[in-house]
Formats: sequence, C-alpha cells, structure tokens
Amino acid sequence: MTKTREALAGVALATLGSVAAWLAWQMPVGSWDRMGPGFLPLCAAGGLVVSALASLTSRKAAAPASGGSVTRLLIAATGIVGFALLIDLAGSLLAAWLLSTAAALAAGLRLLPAVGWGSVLGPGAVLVFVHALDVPVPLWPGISSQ
Amino acid sequence: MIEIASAALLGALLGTLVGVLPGLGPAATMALLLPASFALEPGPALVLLAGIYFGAQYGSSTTAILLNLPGEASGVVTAEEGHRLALGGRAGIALGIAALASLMAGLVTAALIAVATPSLARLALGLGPADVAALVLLSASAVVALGGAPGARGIAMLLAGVCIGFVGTDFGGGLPRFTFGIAELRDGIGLVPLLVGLFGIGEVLAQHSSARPGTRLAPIGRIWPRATELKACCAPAARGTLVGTFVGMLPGGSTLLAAIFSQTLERRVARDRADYGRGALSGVAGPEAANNAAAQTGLIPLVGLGLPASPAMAVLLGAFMLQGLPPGPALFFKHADVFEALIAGMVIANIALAVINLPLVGLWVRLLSVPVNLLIALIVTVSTLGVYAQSRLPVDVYLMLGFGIAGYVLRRGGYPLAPIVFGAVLGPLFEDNLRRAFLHAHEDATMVLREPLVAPCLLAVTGIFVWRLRRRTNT
Repeated sequence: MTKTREALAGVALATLGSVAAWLAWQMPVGSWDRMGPGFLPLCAAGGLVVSALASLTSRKAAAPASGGSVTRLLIAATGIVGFALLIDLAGSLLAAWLLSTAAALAAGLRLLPAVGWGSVLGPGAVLVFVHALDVPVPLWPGISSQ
Repeated sequence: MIEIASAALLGALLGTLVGVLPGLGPAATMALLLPASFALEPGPALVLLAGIYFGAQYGSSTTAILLNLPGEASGVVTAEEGHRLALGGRAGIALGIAALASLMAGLVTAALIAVATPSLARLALGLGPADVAALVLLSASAVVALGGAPGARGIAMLLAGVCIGFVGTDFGGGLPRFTFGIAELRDGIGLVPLLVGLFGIGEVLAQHSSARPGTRLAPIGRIWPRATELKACCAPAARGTLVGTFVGMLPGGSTLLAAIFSQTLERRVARDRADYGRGALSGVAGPEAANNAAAQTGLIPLVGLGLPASPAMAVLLGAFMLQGLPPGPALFFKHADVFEALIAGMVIANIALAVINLPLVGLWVRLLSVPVNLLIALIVTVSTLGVYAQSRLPVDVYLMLGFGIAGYVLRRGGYPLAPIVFGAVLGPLFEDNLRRAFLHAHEDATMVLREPLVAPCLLAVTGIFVWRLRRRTNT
C-alpha cells in the first residue's frame, strides 16, 4: 500500500513536470546569455521530471504519513469549493456555514452535531474576521462588512 | 514600545497554542495572520509573526514532556528524555529546565542577531547579481541536503516549488507563464494559499483519522529547579545554543535538525549521559536551547540577505514585502527602527514565554481534551476564510484546496513538503539574478565566475552533493 502511495506521488510529480516542460517549450527559450521567459522554467521542469522518476526507484522514503480518509477529504473539498462558489453570490455568512458544516462532517461528526457546530463556527468565524480583525468580507450579497 | 510588547505577548501566546495543538503549524498560522498583520505598523506586525514561531517551540515542549505528544516536529526530540523524566515524577523540573534553557538561548541569540545581522547586510552591499544567484543556489542545495529526505525526493519537491514560483508574468518580457489564461494568476501564486494548503488543510486531513496515542498525563510537581540541577544544565544549554545558532542560519537547517544534533552531542559529552533512556535533564536542556536558538537565528540570513532558512521565515519574508520593507542593507539604512523593534520583540517574547507559560501549563494541557474533530472543523473553516480574506479572490481558495490535496498525496507518499516553499520563494529570485548576471557579462561567462562569491558557492554546492553521495554509498 505504501509503495502504491509513493508511486502515485512520484507519477503525479513527473506528470506535473512534463506539462510544465511542454508549456515552457512553447515560450521563447533564448540562450544562456539572453534567457527568454521559457529558459529556466524548461530547466526546472526537465529537472522535475528526471528527479520525480528517479525518486520512484530510490531505496527509501521519508516516513510516509498514515491515516486520513479519501471520503472525508472529498467532503471537506466539497465544502471548500462550495464556499468559493457561494461567497460572492450568497455572502460570507451562508458560505462559511456550509464550509464549517462540511468540515465538521469531514472531521467525523454525525449530521446533526455537524450542522449544530457548523452553525456556531461558520458565522462566529466570519464575525471574528469582520469585527476583531477588521477584514472586509461581504456578509450578505451586496452588503459589505465595511 | 507598548505596541511591540503587546504584539510580542500575543504572538507568543498564539504560538504556544499552535505548538500545543497538533494540526496547523506555525508557518501556516503566520501565513493566515499575514493580512491581519498588515493593519499593524511594520514593527508590531513582524514581532507578532515572529512571536508565533518562537512560541510554537515552547508550546511543543510542554505537551512533549507531559504527554509525549509534541505539537511541533522539534518537540519529538525533547519528548524522548522529557517524558521519561515526567513519568519518573519530575515533569515540573523538566518543564522548568526546558523554559529556562529556551530563555537563555533566546536572549543570547537575540544579542547575536542584533550584532551580526547589520554586519552581514553591510557585506551584502557589495554583492552583484551573480553572487546573489550563487548564494541562492547554495541555499537550495543545503535545503535538499539537510532536509532529511532522500536526494531525488528533496530535489523533485524543490523543483516543483520552483515551477510554482514561475507562475505569473515574466518580469523580463511581460509574457504570462503557466497562467492557463486565468487573469488572477498573472500576479503569481501567493505564499498564503500555498502554505495554508500544504501545512494547514493537507496536514490536518492527512492526519486527522489517526487516533491520538494513548496518553498518560504525568503529575507536574515542583517547577523551579534546584541550584544543583540548574548548574548541571548550564553546559548542555550553552552547547545547545551554539549548535542551534549554527544550524538555524543554514537554509533547510530546521529546528528539528538543531534539536537532533544537540541530543546526539549531549549523549556523548553530557555528565548525565548514563541517564539517557531513563530521563536525562541534559536531553531536555540541550535540544530545547538548540531549537529556540535555531528558530531565532534564521532571522540573520533573512534580514541580512533576504534568504529564508525555513518555511516560517519565508512567511516572514512575505510580511517584510507586504509592509514595503525588502530585507537587506536598505532596511538598516532606511528603517533601522523596524529592526530594533524586532530585536526588542524577541527579548520580550522570550521572557514572556518563560514567565507566563509555566503557570499556564495546566490550561495548555486541558486544551488537548477538546475533541479533535471540532478542532479540525475549526482549522479548515479559519484557514479557508483567512485565505479568502487576504485577497478576496475565490481563485486563492481553489489554489489552497489544490495545494491541500497535493500536500495530502505527497505526505502519504513520503515526500517532504518544506522544499516546495523554498523553491517557490527562491526560484524567481534565482532567475532574476542569473539573468541580470549573464546580461552584465556580455557573452563572457568567465566574468560571472570571477565574481567573489560564485566560485566558493559552486565549490560548496559540489561538496554538499559529494557528501550526500558518499553518505548514500556508505549506508
């Protein structure tokens, strides 16, 4: 299982490097004394592909983190995406409530306690940001905190 | 001065909280507070953020000693002997020694920073772009070599960070790079979504389902050590301060590495070395002094040269930039008051941490009884709101989530995360200086090599890689 996780991470890095190298190749690369915008990105991305592939064959890994659950990660991710989609449309109070409820579900609370904790935490956090830290965020659509 | 003292106190308390609770580390907390700190004057803002980093080292030692549950990586080393002392009924003494050793290291390094940093900055005045590029290359090599990860993994993560650092508009020709047509990415990827995603969301989600280890809270008892115990810990704390001072200035020389080096040294030279495995006071005094010294001396290359030695220092670099005070020689000529405020804040934070934290030990430990799932929901909510609030761009929230998922996958694959941050900060700095160096060289590459720091740095880089290769061959 650990081997699969290590391979997944290595392949993801190699893929990222390949995409970056391809994008950098589309830009003017230039030469060492007249470096174009693609010169160093191409070097870095090429190095990333090589080192990511080499890491797949390396003998030992740093201690991998254990635990975590993909389902819970997805629930938290849904809450975060929901927040980003709603914040400008519905304001921060509603968006933060959805976010904190999803985060509570992702953290393992059952539905009712999650809704309860989310109802306290989300609006509470918004009010701390707005009033204690003086950060301007829209509370409701069209109503700014400032 | 009252503003500086308040910021130091608040930072120290927040840092202790972060150090006590596993989850959101000091770098991510500092990143979250970047926008709020912008509302403060430069001096108090920087003191607040630095105080969080120093406080986290103290907080971590409290739970490491009492519960064998460090909130920060460097506390792992203190936990070894500290928790054994606690189980033997000497928890209070271990806590007292940890606080006093950290205080001693904190005050000594604050004086050192006050003296050494301006001199380093004066030296930096004579550096050309080729020298700076060579220094950055040396820093990056040291990050990979000292980062504790096998070579290829460390290099891959560093280069992934460099690619992230290149996102945005090319400063040379104004061409957008890696922006995928997204207008919000033209200014590049901010440190806040990167750090909060990697070290906040990713770390919390990767760890939350692992149950807390079975913990046994040891009785605290007498806190203030006797004169004989103090005397026995003076030399280990002094050695730890020296080790931490040196390691902290190296790029990638983390507080954990400083604590490990100090513990290794004490196992060989301390008078109570026979007590190792049963609870040795030098095993608390040395590593605690070392991690606090390392946390603070990271400021020397940051303020003197603008080179961060750790992810937390990278956030502090971001804070300097946000306040319009780029670190380096100009800071000392134009804003000497900010540097003086930083030193004063360090002294106040260190004294406050020793004086306030010991009586509050019970409170910090009780915080650990808060259900972990409530804390996770709190961290995810505050992180997301904080990232949105600093730019008011939903795209930053998506970026944070992306980095969170990447951090989750990479952590589970055993890849170190800190080099990504170094890559993202150092990559553009390297590119800018390298381009200018070769432009000035007018097609004569040997001109670049003739700059004073280039050849020594290249030699040092070669030495680092030869050393790593030999170590790998020998193991």
